[in-house]
Amino acid sequence: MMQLVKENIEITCVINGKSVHQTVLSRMHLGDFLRGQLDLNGIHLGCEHGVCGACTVLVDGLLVRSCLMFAAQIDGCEVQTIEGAVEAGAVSLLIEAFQKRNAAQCGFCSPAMILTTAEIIKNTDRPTREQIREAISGNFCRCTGYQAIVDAVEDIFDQRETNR
Amino acid sequence: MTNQIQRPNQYIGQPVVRQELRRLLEGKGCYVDDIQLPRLCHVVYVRSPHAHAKIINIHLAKALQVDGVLKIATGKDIAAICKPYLGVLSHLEGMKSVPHYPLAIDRAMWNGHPVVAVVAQTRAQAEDAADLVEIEWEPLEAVVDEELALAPNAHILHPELGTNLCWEKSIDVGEVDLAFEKADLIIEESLRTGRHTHVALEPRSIIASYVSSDQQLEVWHSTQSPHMMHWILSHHFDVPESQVRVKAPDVGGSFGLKIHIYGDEMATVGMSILMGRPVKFVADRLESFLSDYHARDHHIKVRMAVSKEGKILAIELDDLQSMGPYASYPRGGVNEARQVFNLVGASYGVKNYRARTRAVFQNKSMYGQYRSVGRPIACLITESLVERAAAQLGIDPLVFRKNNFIPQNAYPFKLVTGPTIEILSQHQSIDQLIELMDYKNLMIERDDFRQRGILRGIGFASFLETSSPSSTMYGKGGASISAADTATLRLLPTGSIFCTASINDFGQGAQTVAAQIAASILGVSIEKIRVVLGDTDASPYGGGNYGSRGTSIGGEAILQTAKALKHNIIEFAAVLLSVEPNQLDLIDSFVFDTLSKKNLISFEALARQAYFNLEKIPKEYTPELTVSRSYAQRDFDGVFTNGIQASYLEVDPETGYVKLLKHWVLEDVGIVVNPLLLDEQIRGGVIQGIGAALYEQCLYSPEGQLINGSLVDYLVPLASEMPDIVVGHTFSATKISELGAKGGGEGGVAGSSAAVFNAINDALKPMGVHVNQLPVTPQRLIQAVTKNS
Amino acid sequence: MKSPNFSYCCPTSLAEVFDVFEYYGDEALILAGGQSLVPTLNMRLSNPSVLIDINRILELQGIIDDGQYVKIGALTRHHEVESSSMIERELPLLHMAMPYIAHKAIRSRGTFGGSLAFADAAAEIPAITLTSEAIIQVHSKNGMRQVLAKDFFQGLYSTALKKSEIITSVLFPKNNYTHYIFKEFARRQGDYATVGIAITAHVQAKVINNLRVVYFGVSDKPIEDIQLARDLLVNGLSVQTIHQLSMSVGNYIDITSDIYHDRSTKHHLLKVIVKRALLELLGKVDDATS
Repeated sequence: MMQLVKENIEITCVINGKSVHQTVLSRMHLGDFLRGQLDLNGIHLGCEHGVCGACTVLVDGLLVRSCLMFAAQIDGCEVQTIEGAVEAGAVSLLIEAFQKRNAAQCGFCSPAMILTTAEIIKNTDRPTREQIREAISGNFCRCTGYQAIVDAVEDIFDQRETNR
Repeated sequence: MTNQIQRPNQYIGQPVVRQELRRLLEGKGCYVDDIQLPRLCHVVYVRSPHAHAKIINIHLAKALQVDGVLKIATGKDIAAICKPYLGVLSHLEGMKSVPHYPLAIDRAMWNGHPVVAVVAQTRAQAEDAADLVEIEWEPLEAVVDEELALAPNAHILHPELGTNLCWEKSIDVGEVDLAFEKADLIIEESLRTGRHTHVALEPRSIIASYVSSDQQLEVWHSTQSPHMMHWILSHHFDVPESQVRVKAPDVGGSFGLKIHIYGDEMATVGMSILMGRPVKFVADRLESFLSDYHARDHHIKVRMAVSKEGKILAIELDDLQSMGPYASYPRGGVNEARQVFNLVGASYGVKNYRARTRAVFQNKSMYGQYRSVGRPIACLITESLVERAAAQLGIDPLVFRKNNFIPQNAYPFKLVTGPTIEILSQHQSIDQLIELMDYKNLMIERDDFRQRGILRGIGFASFLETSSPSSTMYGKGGASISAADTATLRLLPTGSIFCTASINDFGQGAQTVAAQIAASILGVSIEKIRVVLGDTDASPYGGGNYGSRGTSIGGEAILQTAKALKHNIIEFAAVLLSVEPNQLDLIDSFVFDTLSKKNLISFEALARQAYFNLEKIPKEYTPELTVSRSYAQRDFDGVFTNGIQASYLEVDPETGYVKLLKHWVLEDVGIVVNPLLLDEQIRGGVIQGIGAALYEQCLYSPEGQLINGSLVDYLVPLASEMPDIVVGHTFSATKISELGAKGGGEGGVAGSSAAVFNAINDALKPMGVHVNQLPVTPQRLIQAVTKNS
Repeated sequence: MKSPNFSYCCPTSLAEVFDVFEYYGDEALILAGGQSLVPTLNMRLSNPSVLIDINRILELQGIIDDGQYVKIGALTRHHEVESSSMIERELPLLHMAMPYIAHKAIRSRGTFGGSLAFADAAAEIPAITLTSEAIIQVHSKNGMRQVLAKDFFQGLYSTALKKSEIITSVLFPKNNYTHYIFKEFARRQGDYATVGIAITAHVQAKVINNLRVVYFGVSDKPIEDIQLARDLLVNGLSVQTIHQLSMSVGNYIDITSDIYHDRSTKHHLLKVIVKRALLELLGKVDDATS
C-alpha cells in the first residue's frame, strides 16, 4: 500500500517566480505555509473557513483560498502572492488607483482585494459596476463599504480609454 | 483656519492621499500575527460550551501529554498574578457589577467564556491539547432573556447584587402627561434591535513578552489605545508602569472592538509573566464570534405626542439594553443606554420627556462599545417616530423635521437630559439633501413605480453624533481613560520633521491627517514629515482612538505643537540672524523674511546650527526644536455633530428581499481636514449600519448558546448588495479648538440603519404594514406582509 | 482553527485509493476540491485518520463528448464546467447555474464529484444533476456501478455512496430539453440558496412534454416535484394554472427550516419561486411557439 505521511512531506513548486523546495506537515494549510515558512505575510487569515477571502492567492493562475488548500497539495504548482504580483510590476496601476480613491483603510483585506481586482482588469471588456461588485463579492471588507474599490477599478478602465 | 491658497504646503481641507496605504496594499503591512520573536509560543483557550455553569473540576493530565505543550494554566493561576477588575463607573449613579478575573474560576458565565489557557510551540499543537482538557461542568440556569431577567422570580446571576440590573436611569421633565392628553396624534412603537458584533477582519491579537530579569513587559497589541492598555497592564499585573511598553503595529480594523479588556488577552499577558517568554494569542474567527464584545441589543417601547400641525409635543421612552455577565472594563458597557437616554428626540430639543433606561446582565458575550455607541439606536427610535407621524399627518417628512429642529438661533442648546449642543446645521442639511438627491424627482419616480405595483421607498434619518468626549465620559467615573492627547514634533538635522502623538490608527489615516496639519503650520512639504503612532515608548501619553477624537482632539494637539515649534524656529532664526521675529514666516522649509521677501535660512541649515554648531549661537540662548503640547476638549461633555441620511430602495414583498438602490449622507463635522479620508470613513460606516438594518444579528438559543457564530451564518454586508453612497457636507463652526474639526468617524453608521428602516416602511406603505425589528430579514418582512393580508 | 493531525497520501490511480479504503475504512476521507471538507477540518468538526488526495488521478478529469451523453469527470473543477463551450452548448441549464456557486476562488478548486458527494441540500450541482436525469458513475475495488440521480441523493449530506466507493464521472444526457429555467433566492450573492428551482421542458410542435421541476434548499435533499409537473402537463401551462398550482406546492415535501427561515417562510418562498419560474417558462415557451 502506498505511503501515508504526517510530516516531512516534500514539495517542490514555484512561488512568486522562484523555485522553492520545502518540507511540510500534512495538516498545514497553504496560507499558514506561505506565511509561516516563507514569510509571505501579505496573505492574511480572517476566518479560515473560506468565506472572507483575505487569504486569496493565485495557484496555477487561478484565484484560490489558501486556507482551503493544504501545503502538500501545491507540489508542482505555481503560486503567486501579492508580493510576487508587486515584484512583477503587475499591480502598480491598480495600487495607485486604490490609493487615489482611498480604497483601503486598515489594509487587512487589501492584498487579496488587489489580486481579485487584478483578475477583473485582465478583461479588455469594461465591466459594469454591478459586475465589478459581483467579482469582489467574495472578499469581505469591513472598512470601505466597497464603493471606493469599485471606483478604483473603473478608474483603470477610464485610464485605458483615455490612453487609446 | 482658512486656506491661503497662495501659500505652498497648505494641506488642511485637501484630499491628500495616504502615503502609508501603499505599504498596506503591497502586502507589507505588519499586523500582530506577522510578528515573530525568538522563543515565541502560542496560547489557545478552552472555552465554556455552556452559557452558565459551575466548574467542578478541570483535568489536565491528557492535555499535558500532547506533543509541543509548554504550559497549561487555569483561572486560579492567572488570578494569582492579576488584580481583578470592576467595570463600574462611579459617576453613573447606582451602577453595580462584580469584580472578575481574566479566566473563569468557579463559574463560566457565557458560551465562550475562557477557562483554561493552553500554551504550546504551535497554535495547532495547543489546539490538540485544548481538545483533551477535560472539564466537569454543572450546568446552571442561564439568564438569556433581558425582560425575564428583571422579572420578580428571575434567576439572579450575581447573588451578592440581589438583582440582574446593572444600571438604571430615569427622567421625567416638562409636562409629559399633559402633552399626551393634548396630542392630536400619538405614535406608539415597540422596537427591537439585533445584537451585533464588530467583525473586524483582523481578529483580536496580542503578543506579550515578559522578561523577568528586569521585569520588562513588552506587548504588541492590536488595540485602539496603547496607553490605556499600558496603565491597565501595569496596574493589574503589578509591573511598574515604567517597565511596560505597549505597541500597536498595523491594526486591521477595530470599530470599538479593540478598546475593551478581554480575559483571553489579559491571560495571555499573564502566561508570558508566568513563563518568562513571549506568548502570542490570535483569536480565530469562531472564537471571535464567541468572545468579541457584542453591542446594539435593545428592547424599546416608545411613544410620541404630536399636534395636528406636526409639532412634537412629548416623548416617552422605555429602553432596555442587554449586556454580558459583567460590566465591561474599563468603560462600563452601559454607554449605549446612556446615549439612547440622552439623545432620543434631541435633534428636536424635546422638552417634555419621560424616559427610563435599564441595562441588564445576561449569560451572553460581554457587551460594550461599537462604532457610534447608542446613537444609531437613538436615531432609529426618534426618526422612525418622526416619519410615521409625518406620514399619518400627510406632512412631507423633511418639512416635518425642519419644523421641529432646534431653532438655528437657539445654540448653544442645553438638552433636558443634560448635554449641551454647541452648534449644528440641521436645517441647512435638509436644504442641501433635497438638492443632492433631487428629492422632488425621486419622489415622482418612487410614486411612478408604486402605481405600477412596485414597492419603492424613500427613508430619511436625521442624526446626531457625539464626538471628542471630555473626561466627564469616563475619567470622572474613575476609569483610567485619558481624555487629553499630546503631540511631539521635532525638527531634525536634515530639515525634516518627526511627529509623534498619542492617537492611534486602525485604518482612518491618522498619520496622514497628523502630517497634513503639521506640514501646513510649519510650511513644509508633507513628504518631509514622518509620523509615528501607537507606541507607548515613542508616543506621548494620551487617549488613543475612541469617540471620533483622532482628528478633533489629536489634530488640535498636533496643531498647537506645530504652532509652538514654528514659534521656536522663528525665535531661533531671529536670534541667529539678528532679525525681528515678527517679520519672519516659515515657507517651504525656509525661514522667510516677509519684509525683504527673501529666504533667510533653510530648516536644514538652521537645525544643523542648533545641533552641531552651537558655537555660533549666543550663549544665553538655547534653541528648543523639540516641542510637545497637549489638548483636551473641556467645553462640553461631548461635541455634537449632525447629519442626515437618505435611502432609496425597492422591497419585494413576496420574497422579503430589499434591494438598495442608492444612499445619501450629509454630515457636518466642522472643518474637514481630509475630505477623501472622511468621506470613505462615512461610506464604511453607512455599510455597517446597513448590516444592522438587513443582515446582522447574533442569535442565541434558549439555553444561551450562540448559534450563528461563523461567517457562514453571521451575515456581513458584501459588495453585490451594497449601494453607491453620495456624500456631502454642511458646516458649522466650533470654538472648541483652533483647528475647528469635530469628530467624523462614526456619523456614517449613526443614521444609516434608521434611513434604510424608514425607507422599507415607506415602501410598505401601500400595503398598510410596517416592520419594527432589526435586522429586517426576509422572514420578518414576509411575516409583516402576510399578517396583514 | 487548525486542522487536527491526519496522515496524507496522494495516489495517482484508483487502485491505490481502494487499497487505502480497504485498510482504513471510515477513517479515510477523500480530499478533492477541499472547499467543503477543509473548513470542517479547520473547525475540527471532522477528524479523519487519513486524507486521500485524489487531485492527481488523471482518469477523473475532463469533460468528454460521449455520444448521447456529456461525460463530466468527477474531478472537473467548477470553473472548467463554467467555461466549457461544450457544456454551454449541450447542457445550457448546467451552464446557467455555475456562476451561482459560491465565488470565483471557490470555483477554482471545487469539483463536480465533490459537490455531489457532499450533497448539500442547498447546492446547485446536485439539483441540476437531478433535473438533468444524469447518471452518476461510481467505482469501488469491485468495479463500476451506475446510480441514477434520483436514487443518489438520500438525505441531509447523505448519498447512495457506499463505504469505499468513489464517484468517478457523471453522464449528462444530451438533448433532454428545449427550454430550461434556473432561479434561486439567496440573501447575498454567492450564498447557499434559501430556495432554488431548476426546470426543464421539452417543447415540440407547441406541445410541452417531459416537464421536470426540481427544488433545492427546501428539504434535506433536492426534490423532484413529479405531481406539479403532471398537473401542469394535464392542465396546461397558463397564467391561471400557474397561479393556482403554485399555491399548493410543497404540501407533501418535508420542508426544512434554517436559522433565518422557519418552515412556514420556506414554504412561502417555495410557492413564490415556483410561480415566478413557471411564469418565466411560459414566457419562453410562448416566444418559442409564437
